Amino acid sequence: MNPLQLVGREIHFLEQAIKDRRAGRQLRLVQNRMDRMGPRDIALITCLRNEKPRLPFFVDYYRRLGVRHFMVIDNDSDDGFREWAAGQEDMSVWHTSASYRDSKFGMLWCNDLLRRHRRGKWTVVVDPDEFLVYPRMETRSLKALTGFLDEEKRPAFHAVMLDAYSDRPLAETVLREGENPFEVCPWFDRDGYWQAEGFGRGTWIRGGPRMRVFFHDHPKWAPAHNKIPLVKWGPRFHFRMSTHDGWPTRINRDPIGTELAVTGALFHFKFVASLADKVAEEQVRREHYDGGREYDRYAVEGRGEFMADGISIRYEGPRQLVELGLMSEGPWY
Amino acid sequence: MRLLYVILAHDNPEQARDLAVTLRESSGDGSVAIHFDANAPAAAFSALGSLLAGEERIRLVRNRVRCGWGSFGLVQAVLSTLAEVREAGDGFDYVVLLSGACMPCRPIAQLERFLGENRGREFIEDGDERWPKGGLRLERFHFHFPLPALRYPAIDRLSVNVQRFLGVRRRIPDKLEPRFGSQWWTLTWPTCLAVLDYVAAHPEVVRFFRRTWIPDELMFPTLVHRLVPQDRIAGFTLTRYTFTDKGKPVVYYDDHGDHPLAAKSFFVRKVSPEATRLRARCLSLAREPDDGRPLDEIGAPSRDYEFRIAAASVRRPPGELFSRDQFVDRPLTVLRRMDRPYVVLFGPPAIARQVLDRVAGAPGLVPLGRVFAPGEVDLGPGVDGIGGLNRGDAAIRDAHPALFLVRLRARCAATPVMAIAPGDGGDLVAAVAEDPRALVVSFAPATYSPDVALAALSEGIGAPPPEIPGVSQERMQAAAALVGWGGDEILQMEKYGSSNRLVKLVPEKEVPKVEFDDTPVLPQVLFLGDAASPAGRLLRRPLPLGGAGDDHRREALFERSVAASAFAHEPWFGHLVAALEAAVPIGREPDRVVLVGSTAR
Repeated sequence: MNPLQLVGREIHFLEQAIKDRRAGRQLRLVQNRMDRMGPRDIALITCLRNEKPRLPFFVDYYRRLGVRHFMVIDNDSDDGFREWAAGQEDMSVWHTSASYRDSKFGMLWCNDLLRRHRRGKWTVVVDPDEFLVYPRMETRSLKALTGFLDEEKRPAFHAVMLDAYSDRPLAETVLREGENPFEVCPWFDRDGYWQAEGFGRGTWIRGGPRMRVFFHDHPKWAPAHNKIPLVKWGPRFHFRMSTHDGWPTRINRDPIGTELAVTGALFHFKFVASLADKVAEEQVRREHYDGGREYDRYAVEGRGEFMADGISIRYEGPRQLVELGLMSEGPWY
Repeated sequence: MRLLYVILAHDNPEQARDLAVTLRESSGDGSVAIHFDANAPAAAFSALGSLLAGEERIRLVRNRVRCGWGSFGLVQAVLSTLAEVREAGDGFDYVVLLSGACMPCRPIAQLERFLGENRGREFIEDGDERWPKGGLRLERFHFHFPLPALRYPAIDRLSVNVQRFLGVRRRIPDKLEPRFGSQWWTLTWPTCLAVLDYVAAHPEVVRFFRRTWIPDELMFPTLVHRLVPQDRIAGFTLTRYTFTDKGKPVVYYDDHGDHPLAAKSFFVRKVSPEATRLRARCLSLAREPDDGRPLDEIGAPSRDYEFRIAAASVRRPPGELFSRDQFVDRPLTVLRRMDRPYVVLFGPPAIARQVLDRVAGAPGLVPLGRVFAPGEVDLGPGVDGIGGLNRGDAAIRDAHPALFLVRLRARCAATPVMAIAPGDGGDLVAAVAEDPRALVVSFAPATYSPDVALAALSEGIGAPPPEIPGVSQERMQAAAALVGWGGDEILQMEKYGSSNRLVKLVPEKEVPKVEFDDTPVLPQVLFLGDAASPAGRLLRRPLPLGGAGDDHRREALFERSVAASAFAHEPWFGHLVAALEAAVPIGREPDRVVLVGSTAR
């Protein structure tokens, strides 16, 4: 890298750092229970808006995996989230009514919380509709996983996002409060995820039902499905557009290179009936990536059926994903 | 047999209690001394104290030491535990040093029989500086390590490099010969007392080891080596440990099943605190009576872990995510993840179609169409989709052709026969030509150079027109060059980059606009095989082994030739040859003649 590039990197980093801090100032800590967290506990950071029906199952799921604290950024929810959160002993809440889009879809807020509270500590960074799955999770906690990643000197855990769907029409797929989304939407695409080199020589994965249905004729435009849902925040870390794209770019690449590393999957339960309301709402708000182009497609084709014989398969457990090659045990014996 | 178990525990008071109680109860008159790390929270220590209140023959060491990884505290903790036990005036036959993560994997009664049969032997490793698998070796005691290990890794590295540059070599007190070995030993009580006396008499030895790297793997083996006659040192310990290739101990969980219990030792480490079922199983195993089995295998080296790791990586699923060799730009390694054969008819689609029509109905074969045709996925007449892969999926196919081929293969129970016309599939064709699972039947004139190919096209085979309508001469040249590649060329391909060469010759976007017409061409099986094998008789020329090419290439060629010979034994091979014979007008090759019909079935 020549000196000019180094200077460029440095300027880029400073620009990002300033943006993070500026976004961080929009957050107001309204419920602080961080003193109940141990120094080596795993925490979870999420950013949400009116997602209360999903939350009871969400927090239970991650508590069982060994998450000890939930750090929630509440983007002005008006569904009684705050009252519910007050009853959660392991939850701290930051409130903001600033624009979701201006904070790069919540990423800048998450960056600032990670920088302020989670440096050198393992943290799960997911949306409320994303559920982390990793090899042997029935018998091994996130603590065991992060212990192994520490041994491997990996600061980031890479996962593929699997869009889950139900076998019924979208309008009939309703996720009621507290319900297990793995039961409502147990289907996902067994293969068809194609990989290319991404930022920082990372893995760029596209595929799944969204590519199959919405980007059928332009698979290269399909959204990225590689994510970093678990990270040990370093001094100069940053997520740019989302957890697809980390900084420094080396964290996008598993450091083992051509050898295989332990990887996971992130089940994404986007395709439930509440989406219909959400599409209408989001179209008004125009707050999402690329002016909500993706949501426009859902609005037009949202009635579409995701089930495809031969491709759709019912989720049975992490072992199944390893056998399908969607995630890997790597050297984690 | 009077046993003393010394347990170095760091956390999880309940689990330390369970282990201690089990060890005490399953030995006739065993005692336990627990040293609880001074780094642990005070609440955990007081919890352990109340858990052990009233338990007989379980001592909680009062003089606690901070035990960081690789610190002298780990040695000091053992020394102060032994001293405290000696003060109490107890006497034992053997002392077993364990950690909270060690678990018994055989009945304790069996351990007592073993120690009775081997009375007087010291179960400690006694290795020289080659004992550590890598990293620092002689440096561990040649250099000074005044800082706590791994707290400041950068300073550690710098300090080691500076000392290496300066050629530092510490003087070893009392002419001790440094020996290496696992921390988790089983020693006789008299030897433990001898170590205590020696340490008390030689404070400079303690000062020396305090500043070595990982003294817990150094000090006891060194002192035992000095104090005990060599023939009494067993050279192995009774606690089985396994290191990963990163030099970290393997941790066992509930999902490991019986594997940790199969160790050729009496204890196994490390068992995770989360592995509650495994722990319960180990503890109940410890209480079982001795089944009297012979114990000759104890201490035998085991490569079980290595074999299991190797076995797990033998066959990985195709398209595996986050695997660099499955990226778009690596079609060959994508194809290589497939474990079943497939047949590719390479040449004019019209001829391939005739072969496919004749193959239809043959057992073990399933004819597809021109799968990589531009603009549509041709899966055969009247077939709109196979297992979710549809005629309209051309864009998805073209995003990653090799992955599409792999997915298609996975959806065919019988061996698929597909047609690929020159120009189809971009880079994929070169990868298919190298894939040992592909039986590539080529219908274009075979030669080694584009010039000869062109000449052959114009006069050699039957009466082909020099120009095929809709196909440029360059493209035909390219196709000829492609199918004419033999071993030498494939060896060269690596050098120049096969994909570049192909892309230059056959641009992805330049696709045939007119079908090839019905031209008599030369069918040949393109592979590099063993000329003596049945399939090898289809060979145009033998495998150029023994010449240029490194071992890796040779291995790949060998693998391919073995796989290729195997095609002749496939039940469908005869049907395919018959279809070829019937469908393809056979021409004459310029310099060599191959008659498909003459091959053995």
